[in-house]
Amino acid sequence: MADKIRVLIVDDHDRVRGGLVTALRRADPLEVVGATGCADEALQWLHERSPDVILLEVKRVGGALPCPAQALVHQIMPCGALAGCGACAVETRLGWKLACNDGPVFDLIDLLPKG
Amino acid sequence: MMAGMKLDLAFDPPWMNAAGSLGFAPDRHGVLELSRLGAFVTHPISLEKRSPAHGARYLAYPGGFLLHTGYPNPGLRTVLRRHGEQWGRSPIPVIVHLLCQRVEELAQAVQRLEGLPGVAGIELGLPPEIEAGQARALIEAAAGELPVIVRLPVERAVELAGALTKNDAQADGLAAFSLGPPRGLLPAPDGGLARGRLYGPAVFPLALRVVKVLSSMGVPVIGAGGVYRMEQAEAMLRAGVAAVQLDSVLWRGGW
Repeated sequence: MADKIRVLIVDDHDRVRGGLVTALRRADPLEVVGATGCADEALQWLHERSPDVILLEVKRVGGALPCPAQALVHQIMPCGALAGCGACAVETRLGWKLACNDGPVFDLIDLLPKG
Repeated sequence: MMAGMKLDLAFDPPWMNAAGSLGFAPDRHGVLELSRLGAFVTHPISLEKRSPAHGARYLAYPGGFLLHTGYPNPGLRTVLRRHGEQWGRSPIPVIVHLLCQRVEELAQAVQRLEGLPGVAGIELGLPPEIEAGQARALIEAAAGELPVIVRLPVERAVELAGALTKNDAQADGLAAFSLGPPRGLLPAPDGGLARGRLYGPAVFPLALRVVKVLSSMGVPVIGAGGVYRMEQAEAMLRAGVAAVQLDSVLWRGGW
């Protein structure tokens, strides 16, 4: 579906990666397009699978998700990141934000719907 | 200053950015030197916040690209809180682009803008499907202390402009016309069709034809659409426009 947020998970810890995949597959607007601990594979998938969001770093300290995480939002920016066109707007729990101006790294929890 | 008309804006130089091209406030430290513009037009602002569009946002095609953003904005109150001071400090006049489809909303929005430092006018964005009667009602709701520039959908600009100036019964408050980008459809990556606004050099001939016709209707016109080179902007001036709005060319730098 066009409205799914496509997520690529990159983490070298198998259990963290597995936990994120399990949790995110239950989150309706998300689609996990890949999970890998290999940087080369991640770079290849970045081009092949065009994720909207890449999880790059994960710390296991608890919370609503298996662990708090940050997400790098990969959006096209026709205006060259001038915060001019609005094409990179992202819905967050704190209202909509511009990936070019307010991100591109966001707390993952803020990108998920409440509840 | 354009003498003899209700438009109190001085466009010197006669170029300005189009709404949706440079954000909500002029940036003194941005990529474009503000002295290159005669006015700054804000990103479209609605009374209440608007969310970003879903689906494909940007699709390229030979001659330009399609952009579908939904004009996300945090609503007028938040924009004023975040950017009102910047408008007041702006070295060039600020024209606030309003996206309101209901008369009551528009009247409220205009009231909040009147008397604000830096704000020299309002640009009222009309949706592509609007009827002439609705357009007239909106323009009259926006009429007040500030001059109202009416941004017409380019596909219906001649028809709407004719209705709004018919038999000398010009809509009260109408100070000038400007042009919004044309709308189009392109095949989307998901197999469906993506709709959105069209930008790029392919738009210019269409826009030039429309501004040529509008310029003969007795209301000042601000041209826009597909201008990528100075000689194109000058061609619009020769066609009779008071100023020219620039959009995606500003993203490439070098204007």
